[in-house]
Amino acid sequence: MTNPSKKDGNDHMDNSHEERSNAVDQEKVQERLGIGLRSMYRSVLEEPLPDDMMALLDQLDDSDDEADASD
Amino acid sequence: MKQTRVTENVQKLTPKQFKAQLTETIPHLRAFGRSLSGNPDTADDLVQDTLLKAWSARDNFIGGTSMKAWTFVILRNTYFSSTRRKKFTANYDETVAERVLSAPAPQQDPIHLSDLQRGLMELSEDQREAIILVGAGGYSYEEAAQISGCAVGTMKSRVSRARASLEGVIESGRFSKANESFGKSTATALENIIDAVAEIAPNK
Repeated sequence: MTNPSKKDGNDHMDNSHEERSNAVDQEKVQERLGIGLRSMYRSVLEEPLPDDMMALLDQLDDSDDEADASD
Repeated sequence: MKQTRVTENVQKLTPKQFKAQLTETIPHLRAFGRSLSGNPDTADDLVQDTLLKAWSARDNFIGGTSMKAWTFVILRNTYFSSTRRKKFTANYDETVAERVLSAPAPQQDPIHLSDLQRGLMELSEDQREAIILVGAGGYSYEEAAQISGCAVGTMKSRVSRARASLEGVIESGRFSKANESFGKSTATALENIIDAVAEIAPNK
């Protein structure tokens, strides 16, 4: 307490150093999270589509072309 | 409504165009549905429902706008109405989820898909949807808010809370008995199974 500026100076530096490295750690964790999420999403994007899904689309297109022309 | 008919002719897609754009969205719908529901079969059922609904609502689609965003809304509405009807169970496919995602830094443990998906399933539906749209799907906060039907501020808050919750998953890496101190005080049957698998096939 007698030399508050000196003592606080060091403590302040230590605290902000720790805060900064915590912030950087958190950033790294969030970066990994982002990469994980995007990888997870992309892995499904790259899967071949199920046959029945494509078949469904074919059915939709065929059945409604004529109906639309008559509108 | 002759006036709107003129507008519709300019903005309405032909069935072929509609179908072509719809086809392009399918991989994205599958990815969104998979991470939202945690289950590949549930997800594909969800996508099939979405495609049928999208087709029957095709007159409402305005050409030039995002088919992807439009179908995402249909999918998430279908998902949320189905989870409200039945009790939600974290029923995802463990075998599929065992794939390992690449890590950015070699010295770190790779993030296991199962851990990440399990972490996602532990979030509220709103937060899960939010982090998937923004963090995985690449939508902006504004776009994600429109899809979810909420305010931008709400979306940002959901994403932020989801990120905070998922930090624990990333930090603890492969879930094992050693990581139970990270906050999972209640071991569910599912967690016990995951522990057992971790013991049989240890990461290190």
